[in-house]
Amino acid sequence: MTTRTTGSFVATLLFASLVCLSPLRAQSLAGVVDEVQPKIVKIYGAGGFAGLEAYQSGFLISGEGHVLTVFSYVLDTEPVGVTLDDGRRFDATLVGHDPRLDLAVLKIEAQDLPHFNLDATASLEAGDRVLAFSNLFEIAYGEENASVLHGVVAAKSPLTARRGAFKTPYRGPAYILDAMTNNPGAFGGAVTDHQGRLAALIGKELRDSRTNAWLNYALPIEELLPSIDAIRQGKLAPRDDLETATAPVDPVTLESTGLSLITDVLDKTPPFVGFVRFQSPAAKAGVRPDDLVLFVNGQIVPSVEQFLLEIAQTDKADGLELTLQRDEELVEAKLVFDE
Amino acid sequence: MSLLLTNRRTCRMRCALACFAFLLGAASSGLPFLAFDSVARGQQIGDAEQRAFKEATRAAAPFTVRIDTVGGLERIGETLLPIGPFTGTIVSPDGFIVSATYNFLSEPQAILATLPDGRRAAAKIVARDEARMLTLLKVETESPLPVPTAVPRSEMQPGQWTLALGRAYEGELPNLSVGVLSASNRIWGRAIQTDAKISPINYGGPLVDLRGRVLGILVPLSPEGAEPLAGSDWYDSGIGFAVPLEDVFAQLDRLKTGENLKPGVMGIAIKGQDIYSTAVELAAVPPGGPAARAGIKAGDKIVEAEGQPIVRQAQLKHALGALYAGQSVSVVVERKGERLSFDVPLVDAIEPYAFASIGASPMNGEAEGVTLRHVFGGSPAEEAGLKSGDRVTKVGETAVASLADLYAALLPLQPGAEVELGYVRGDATQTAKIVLAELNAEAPEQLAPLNRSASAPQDGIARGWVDAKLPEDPHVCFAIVPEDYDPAVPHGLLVVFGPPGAVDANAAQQAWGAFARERDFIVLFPQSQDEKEWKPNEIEVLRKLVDQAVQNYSIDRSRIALFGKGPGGAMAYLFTAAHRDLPRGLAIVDAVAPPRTPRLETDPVNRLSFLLLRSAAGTNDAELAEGMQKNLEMLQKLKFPVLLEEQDQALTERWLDAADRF
Repeated sequence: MTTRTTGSFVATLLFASLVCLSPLRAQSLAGVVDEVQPKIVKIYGAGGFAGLEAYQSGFLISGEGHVLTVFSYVLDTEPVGVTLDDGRRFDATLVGHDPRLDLAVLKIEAQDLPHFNLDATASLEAGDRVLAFSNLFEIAYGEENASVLHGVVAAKSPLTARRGAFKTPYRGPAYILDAMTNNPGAFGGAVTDHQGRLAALIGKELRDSRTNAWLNYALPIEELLPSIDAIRQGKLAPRDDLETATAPVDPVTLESTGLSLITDVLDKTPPFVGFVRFQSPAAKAGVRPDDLVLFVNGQIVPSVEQFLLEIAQTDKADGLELTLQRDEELVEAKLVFDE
Repeated sequence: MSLLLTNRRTCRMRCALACFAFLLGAASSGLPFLAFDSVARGQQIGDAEQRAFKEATRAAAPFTVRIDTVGGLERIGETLLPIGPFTGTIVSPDGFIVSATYNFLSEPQAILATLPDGRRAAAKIVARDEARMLTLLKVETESPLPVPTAVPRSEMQPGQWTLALGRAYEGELPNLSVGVLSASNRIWGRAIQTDAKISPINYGGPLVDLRGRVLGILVPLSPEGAEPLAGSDWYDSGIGFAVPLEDVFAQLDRLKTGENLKPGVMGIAIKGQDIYSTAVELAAVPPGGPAARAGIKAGDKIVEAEGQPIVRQAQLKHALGALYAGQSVSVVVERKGERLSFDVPLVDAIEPYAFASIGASPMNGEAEGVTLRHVFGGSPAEEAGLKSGDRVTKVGETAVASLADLYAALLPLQPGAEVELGYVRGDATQTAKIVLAELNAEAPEQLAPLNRSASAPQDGIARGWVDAKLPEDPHVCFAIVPEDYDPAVPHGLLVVFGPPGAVDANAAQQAWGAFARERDFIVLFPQSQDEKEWKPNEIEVLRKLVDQAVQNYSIDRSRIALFGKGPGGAMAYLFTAAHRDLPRGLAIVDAVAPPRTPRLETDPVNRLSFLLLRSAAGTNDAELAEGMQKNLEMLQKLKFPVLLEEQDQALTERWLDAADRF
């Protein structure tokens, strides 16, 4: 049994090695890094004062010089300088940017450049090993290669799922990385899988405004593709449409629920029910004074402020689902709004 | 059911590992067809590891639970508290979950756990482990919950893969950070260490091996600090700690009853400062403490604890660090060549040690015994009829040849105890029975002049205003060395922490020149490195400066004191807390102990008195006055001799000159 396994295994390896020597080379970490580096660029622009660095990272997504990067104050100048891996320096023009995703596409005038193939990107899950390429801290100059970090995907999750008030317009899923990827100048860099396939864009530096803890994360490339296409076709993703599309037509208000909450004195005053109006939607759903509202539509609401934000995003037509704590018990209540 | 699932997953993962192991085996056997491309082998190892990380995470997912809190405090002091989600680890099928105490510092109104089936359940705090900073929670559950397998300590190998898991993000699987086990014995036996990134996103979660078994529960810890936030500033640093699950299981029954577990205290005071080089010789065994009640005495030397030989103090700290109040420590002591065994039941706290006092201060340079330089008014010594000039030779049965002997003889005695003093007056030997009082910090009305050197010294020692900086360090430091300084006469040492910035030579000499000359003190003036502030990280250099002075001059170690005003006063507090072996007196003007000053306790071996002074300007500052009043009350409660006064240079000088009181 063992012998047979060994035999077939060896045969497989031999075959693989003989037939595809070069892919194997590319599959080694060193090979992958060699292959990816020529696609990474260094970007120089506005900044250089008040703790704002005048540089960031980016990478090539077409042979004709399209560069994907993060939209930031660095690009807020003309022209923006782009230095390729081989040391050549170009002035770039801004093709367009998408403020919702904080991404931008630049263009330099050059041909036949090594680039990431956007039709063959990688999708990652927690536990996947990754490489991150960027010019963090502006360590690489001219033709020096960008810095490579290795790590693991710690989680795939919306950034907002962590309640620590990360201020970013991005609402989609993000890769949380188990590596110190997010440092000054790293944003705009590329995250690849172990085969060197493009997986994500390193995002702006974010930190939890409450605990001051820094976050290492990247935006999955598949979330960005439609927007990249739109920008390259000259259509900037329309910003206003999306925001109005998500706003409820007839939002729930505190008044309409029939609830009153205990006075909001602190930032973290929890939403305890003070009073329930007779025959109101809350009363009909069985909400009682002294109940503590823990969740609104499945979202935890640790404070009165969060509670009000959450109900304002709910349309009356959809009703309001509350999870309440009553002594040791958790109680579900569904508020239905007439009309 | 979830348990079964876990087993199946673990099994599949083992297969993957077996395959990986086989690969390594085949490669190292030197088969030529594999040798030509080590690159492929590297890739295979990488893939196998990646699979193993994911399988281990999956295996640990069921018992790694999300914890949410609602309401509570926003911050502790200046530090904002995180608001979650947090992580917990299930430890028993009937709903007990262990988490990091850090996660509940906000004292939330409600705690919720998300169970493996997705159900959210209200959790309540059952008990805390205050030594290891863990909190036990309980949720009601009808179906049994999955419980992890603990990795035995004996199997833990530094260098092995470890995954730190948390539930800070949404998703089926926990978030993971990959690292290795850095050390298997840390924080005085309480924890293991990993280089995986440990932070609020996984505190309370498990540290697992590649089989999904749990090595420990992730917690912020610090070897020195015991305050609630200790260790959390090391987040994501490559230094992370976990409390072995094996140890948690061992205490689980006690915690389940609602009992808070606290570090165990023996009630002993050890001679010698350097815990890594000195043996455990007991200077004092405060009466009423566990060690005293078990029969251990001052002078005993602890040579064994928990079956392990003890050569250095640090080893005893290790043995005790793992134990809780309520448990016993078995020790063997050496007493007059005999080995005696004791079982000491540990307690969580002993009464602060109070120094017993006669109420006098010593004269310098006497041959035999301790000559009284000053007898404090209303003190036991005065009541017993002792006068300055009397020479104490005996305390109880103990002969006293030096001041050190006198301190040592008083150590085991308590205030209120009656003791017979033997003393010499003129040519007559006399005895007096006195009732010892608690040592106070009163300033003497006046002090007799010290014995002086008869001849003016002739040597190469620099005197006057002297540059006292370290040869290897740019730190600036000056000193006043009295013109008549004689190395044959030990001097006092005063360290003045002035305002930040350059030392004003004229002002310094004006303020302290006479004091140095008249009271035989060498006065040091270290300068802050930053011209705007003193920084806590300067403490170690300051220590070196003081050590250098002690080495270069003849210093009486019972007469070392610190003086600091405003920011310098805060610095003097920090310095004292870090180096209890040096100062015997601390005089502070218009300053309070900074918020992060380590907790001070009276130490029988290292006497310390406080003089808190308010300047006219300081008295008008209501906040400062209140802070100083609070410091006074705290120090009194801790049984430190302490005095609060209006600032007065003459009084301060007399007080500093009597820092060696007893």
